[in-house]
Amino acid sequence: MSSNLLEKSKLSICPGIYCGYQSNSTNCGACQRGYRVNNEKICQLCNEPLSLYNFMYIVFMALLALTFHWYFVNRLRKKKQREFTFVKQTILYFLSIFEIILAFIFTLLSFPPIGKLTFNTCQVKLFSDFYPIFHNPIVNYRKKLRCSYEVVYPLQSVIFVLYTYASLIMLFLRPIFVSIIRQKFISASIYSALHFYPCLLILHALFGGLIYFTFPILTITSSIFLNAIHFTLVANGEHDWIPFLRKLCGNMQNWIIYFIHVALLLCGLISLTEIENKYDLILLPIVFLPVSLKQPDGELKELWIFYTNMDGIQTKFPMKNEFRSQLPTSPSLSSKYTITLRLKTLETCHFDISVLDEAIKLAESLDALIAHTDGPTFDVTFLFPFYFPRDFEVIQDGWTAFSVESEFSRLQAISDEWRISDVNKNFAVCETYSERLVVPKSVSDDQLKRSAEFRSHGRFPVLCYLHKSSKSCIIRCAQPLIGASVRRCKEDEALVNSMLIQRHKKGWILDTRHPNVVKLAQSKGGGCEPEQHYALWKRLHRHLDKHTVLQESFMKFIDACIDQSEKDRWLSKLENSNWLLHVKEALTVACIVAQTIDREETSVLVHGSDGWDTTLLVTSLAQVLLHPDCRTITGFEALIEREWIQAGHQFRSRCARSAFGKSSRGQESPLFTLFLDCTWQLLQQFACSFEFNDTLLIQLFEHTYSSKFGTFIFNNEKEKTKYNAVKKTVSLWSYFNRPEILRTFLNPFYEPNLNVLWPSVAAQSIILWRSLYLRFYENQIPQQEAWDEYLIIKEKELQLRSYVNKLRQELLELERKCTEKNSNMIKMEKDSITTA
Amino acid sequence: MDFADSLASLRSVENVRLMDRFNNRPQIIGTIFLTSTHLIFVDPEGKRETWILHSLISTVDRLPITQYGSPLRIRTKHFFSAEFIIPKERDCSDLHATLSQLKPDSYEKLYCFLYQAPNHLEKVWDPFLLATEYMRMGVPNPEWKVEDNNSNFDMCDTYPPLIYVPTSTTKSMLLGSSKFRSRGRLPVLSYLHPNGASITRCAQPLSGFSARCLEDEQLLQCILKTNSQSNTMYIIDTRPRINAVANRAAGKGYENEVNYSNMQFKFCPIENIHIMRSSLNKVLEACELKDPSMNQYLNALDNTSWLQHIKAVLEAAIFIARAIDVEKKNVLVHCSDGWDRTAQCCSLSSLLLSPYYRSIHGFRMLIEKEWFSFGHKFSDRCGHIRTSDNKEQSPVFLQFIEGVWQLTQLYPTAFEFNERFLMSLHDHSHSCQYGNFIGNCEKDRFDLGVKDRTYSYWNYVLQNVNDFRNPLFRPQSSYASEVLLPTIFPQTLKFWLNMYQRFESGLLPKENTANTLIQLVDHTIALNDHARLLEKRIRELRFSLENGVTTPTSNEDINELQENHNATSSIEHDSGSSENELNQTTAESDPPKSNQYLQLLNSSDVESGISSDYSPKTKPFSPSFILPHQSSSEINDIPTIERIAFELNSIAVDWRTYHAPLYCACSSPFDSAQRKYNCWRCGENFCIRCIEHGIRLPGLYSTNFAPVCKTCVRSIKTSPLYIDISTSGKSNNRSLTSMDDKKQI
Repeated sequence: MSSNLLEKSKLSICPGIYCGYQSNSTNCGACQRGYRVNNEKICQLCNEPLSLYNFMYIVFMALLALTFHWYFVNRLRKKKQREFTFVKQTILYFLSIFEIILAFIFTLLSFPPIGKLTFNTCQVKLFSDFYPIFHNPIVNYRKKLRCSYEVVYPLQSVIFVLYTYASLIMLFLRPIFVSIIRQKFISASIYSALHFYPCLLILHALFGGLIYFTFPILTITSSIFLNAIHFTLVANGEHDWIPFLRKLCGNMQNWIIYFIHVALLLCGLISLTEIENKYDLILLPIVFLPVSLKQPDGELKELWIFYTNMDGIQTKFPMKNEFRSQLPTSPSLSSKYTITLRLKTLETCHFDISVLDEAIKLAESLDALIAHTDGPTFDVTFLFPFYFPRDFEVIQDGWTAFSVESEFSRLQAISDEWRISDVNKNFAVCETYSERLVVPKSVSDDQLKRSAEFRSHGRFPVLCYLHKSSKSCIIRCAQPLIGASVRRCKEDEALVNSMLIQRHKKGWILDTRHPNVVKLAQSKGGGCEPEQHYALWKRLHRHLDKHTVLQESFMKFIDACIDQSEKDRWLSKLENSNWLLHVKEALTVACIVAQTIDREETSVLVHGSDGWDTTLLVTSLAQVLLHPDCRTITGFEALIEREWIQAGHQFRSRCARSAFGKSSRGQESPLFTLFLDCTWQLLQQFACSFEFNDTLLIQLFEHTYSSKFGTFIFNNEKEKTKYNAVKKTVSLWSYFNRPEILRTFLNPFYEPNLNVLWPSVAAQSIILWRSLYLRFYENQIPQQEAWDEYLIIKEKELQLRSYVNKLRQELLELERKCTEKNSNMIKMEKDSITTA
Repeated sequence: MDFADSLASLRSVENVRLMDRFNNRPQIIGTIFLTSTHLIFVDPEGKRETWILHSLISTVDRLPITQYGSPLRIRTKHFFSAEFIIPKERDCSDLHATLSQLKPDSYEKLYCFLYQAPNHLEKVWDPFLLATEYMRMGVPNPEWKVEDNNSNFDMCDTYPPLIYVPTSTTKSMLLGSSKFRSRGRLPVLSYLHPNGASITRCAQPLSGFSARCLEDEQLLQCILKTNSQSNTMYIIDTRPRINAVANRAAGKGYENEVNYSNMQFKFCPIENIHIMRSSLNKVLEACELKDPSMNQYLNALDNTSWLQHIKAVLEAAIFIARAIDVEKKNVLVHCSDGWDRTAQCCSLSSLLLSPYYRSIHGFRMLIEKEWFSFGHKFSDRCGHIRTSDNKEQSPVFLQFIEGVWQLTQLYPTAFEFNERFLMSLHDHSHSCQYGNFIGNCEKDRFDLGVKDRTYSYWNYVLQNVNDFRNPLFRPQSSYASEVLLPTIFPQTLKFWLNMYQRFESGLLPKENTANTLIQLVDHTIALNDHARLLEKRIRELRFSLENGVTTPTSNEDINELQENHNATSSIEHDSGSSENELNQTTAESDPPKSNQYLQLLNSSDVESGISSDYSPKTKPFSPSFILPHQSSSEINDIPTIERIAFELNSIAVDWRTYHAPLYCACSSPFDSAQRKYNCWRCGENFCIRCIEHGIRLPGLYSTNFAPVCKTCVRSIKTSPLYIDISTSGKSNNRSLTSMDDKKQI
């Protein structure tokens, strides 16, 4: 009893969780190593068999070391690709496995029961079991009872032993391996191990408890994540299953990594559930495959495709123009099939695809797509502008910004001999004109209708420009249908004559065709105004190429521009393309018109065959020369709206292809590009007379070929009305006319120039528009820097000017005050003198 | 024939027609005058004068007779071509004979020995020391040393006295190598990159088919060892391989690869001077095409191959730069004699490698080093002197200049100098106006004593440095501060219209942004200066208003105003009685005056009428400045109304910039390539001859000489206020400060 009591009293005075009585002692204190205090506060020998969880914990720590080994070996391989072959790497991998296993066995052997492949443990009950040092009780606030010992014997020390063994074995084995292989750099793996082992030990000493309780979860999550990352790396932007699996399975290393991940996952699962027969869970990592496949990658060009893919209408997006599937030209390219996508905006994209089948399929589908988008069956409402959400605030709606009325009001200020006619309401007379047209007051709508019948496509003469000083005007129309029998139409003659305001001078009829072409057209029912019937007019033929000729010239030209081979003579290719010749010709004809209007002060009537291609080129260019307003941003936009869009230039047909397409219907023609090029020539000759810079022109070029906006996707006003474009799409001008966009178009040198521009059209003055045609092939950054510098200089000057003006005003103000004061003082002095 | 003799027979020819190549202007009928230095064509209305320096004339041809008389075509070396039609055939043949006799037959008769520069150009040469340039590159250092073997030009007469060679070389090695190299031009250091790689230059070895020279091989090994980063080096032969092989037959050729270990050989095919000369001639023909069609013109340009030659030069330079900067290897460059293509390649690659050479000063150093010191034969290549044949002439230097220009086009912000500088450099290499370009090597110039007898081109550059500065130059930009390694495609190169067609103003852009930019920068400087003065005046007035007593803020002005005050008060004692009248006048005149200023502010100053309107009106009031108030002397210390008005009036806030008139006030026409000068006072555009630089504007804070037009100079000088300012005793201080400011600029 007494002993019982004694024991009880002993119990009662032994505080703390980990303090206890050892069997042969009566002092309360720490247990011996290999013992653990039980509920009765008596130290008990640890003799429980090794549990699966504990075993897995040791396995986990061993694997951790192994992972580090492998990681460093892998790094070594990356660094020394040439000398460090795959075989050697694998040997090194297995060597490290061998080391760890050996160390593991040694460790098991060296713990009691010694010599057996297992050891006895104490149970781990609490998280604090790993950190007994924090649980030393303080008796009576005075004496600290040191009860810290290895509570979780031997789980804490076993790791130290394991790592020590592992490093020793490594230090023994690796040098032998190195000496056999005779490659010194492999010893780097030893050094790295000597670094990470101590780190691991410290990790274990500090966070042993944490790791012990969390390692299954850590293993599972990390194995899954690592696997996902690994798959993503393997997939490398692949979006399809088959090539991905092929890639994955084709490489031995992938298999190894995959199985390690599976093993890791298994370890985690087993230790977590402590069950040994649910192996079907191995398949879990595969579930994460789709995740890895859908990882978007950050490359811009791939994002393009990604974006259109997401939208679901990518097949109709009119960006893809031509593509070329380049089969591997040399074996060194090893399983890379390049698809080169050339865009209408002259950009080139290269895609590398590693599987031939895929490349061919992609090529075929892209080809089909391209053929479809401008095929006759294609519905324009599938185009992207109809789906483009208005993602910005529209300040000024571009659809209504440039109405006929607003243009007409400007015109009325100059002359009152014109009116707006509604004869074309619902496009009854001419499908390709807009509904409201400016015609002479003296002509009735009936006469207009008659005249329309006489003109090709009903395009009767309408006013397009009225010159302020001379009141002479530019008129455009289509060819008259005189035919071989030389028909005449009195109403048409009257209409044309009524447009000649100054009767004393003969007007000019400018036909943009060669006389031979006119003759040919005459045999087909067209022709040109015969002088005997139009007595007030003189005729002039200046041939401008269009359609196929122009398109082929443009294709050759772009081909010359992007050809970067050294051998071909670039200048002769440029010459062969004839593009600059077309630029020169267009400018020359425009100058002739401008000269007639401004110098001769007489009117000009311009037409080609249909009056919607070269005619527009000439009339619009002439206006840029003549009218200062057309050189401002809004004026230029108005000009394009008036002279190109409302005048019925067939943007959709003409811009269906740019420079790389195989022309399908002969409708494609870069006339608008030619107009932009000519404008650029003027811009670079008169750098200070234009409110805009070449950014605006480049943007216009890009938007005519592919745009989010509805401005350039129709052939004429009627189509636009038919598809209800005003409601359904956004106008390009709405986008352009926002201040933040407008700012990028501004020319810092602009100072309004009210004169007519007389450019040089000599061959020497026509130069290549590098910033458009070569913008993807030349480094544009230095030019951009120069441009920024321009802006800075200009800005500085403006600021200083206003600052000086402010100072001057201030100075004058002060001066006035001074004077007042001065006079007051003088007055006072005077008074004082007089009083004296 | 002497000048005097030739001119005695013919001094002027009248009724000469100047043909316009493009026939878009009526023909001008005028008179040709011959002076000892220039041929001058003046049309009777005096609108247009064409001055042609005799030394710039390259060819004078007589063309088939036309209905108006016999035409004479004069072409100059700076790409001017004029066709004069002279009514009498005798005059024409006389003129032709005279002009073709004009080319001097000896150095002593060159223009530079006659030329008297305007007073402000100093004859003292700013010395260029090769050693300082090498010091900048960090030479001598443990790897490289300086040798004075050539101090008497006895080892190689076309090299500078000091040469830089690897430290490990011996004198005998150098001597041996120089004997093995053509004209004794042994491998010497040309450029040392901060990373330790270097460019060395030399002439071709006299290797023939089998000859070798151990000293030369050792020397090359020594050069190789100066750079520890690479165990090989490049030997670049800038000739096409075929030319190099052909030279072997003449006992010259290129290094035998067997004899030189660890060397990589590379040929950069740049054609020889004869092909270049004919190519340039074709360029000129292409330029002179009368109204060509687009295809004719492009075809003609293509046939010249000029741009291909430029590209070859640039590519060689880029290859060298890449080898130095990226591969970190030493490069040895040579061609035949190592003074044409080698100079081009070395200087262009240095320009690519080092941002220093892209400044005006650095560019001067580059030219001094690579072209002057290492003996580019300027006199032979530019044809300064009459010789039996002109087979030595070749546009080598022009190609270098154009190469630089192409680079400036690629990197507009990376160069401190502008196109005008490059053009001026080219022109003066031909004009013989300055001594720098005379002779074929340093030795020639030394023998001729050009440094004592002629002016230096660089002094002229410094004098006009503002005209030659690139306003876009941004030293801190990424392109200005690093090695430039452009990729050159055939499409990259532009035809230099401003160089070859510069006298055809009809062809050039009508509005020149480069000139506009310079104007903007000038205007900024003027306004800045003016703003500082305004700030000061405002401070003064504020101070006087607040304290009632005026004490000017800066010492400088105390002196000035004190003096004024003294002077004025002394007068005042005599004429105290006029006080009343005076007060009345000031009181009456002030309010309308300030209104006038406001008007002046509101209406743009561009209307030059304002200045002339205003100046007579100032006169009646000016006595009020001299006649002061008696007791209120403090008030007098503040700048008077008239003074401020005068100051404000002397600076134009708005300048006429872009759509400038076609003619200057002196009725000489502007063409777009020409630099237009704005008068700082009235803001109008003037040509260089109508602008005076010698006046200090009262409206400026600093006392720099400002460009002012002649009418404004007159109106300022006649103003009594101006005299007052200029006679105030601080001109000494001011000139000092102005010197400082100039340096800063």
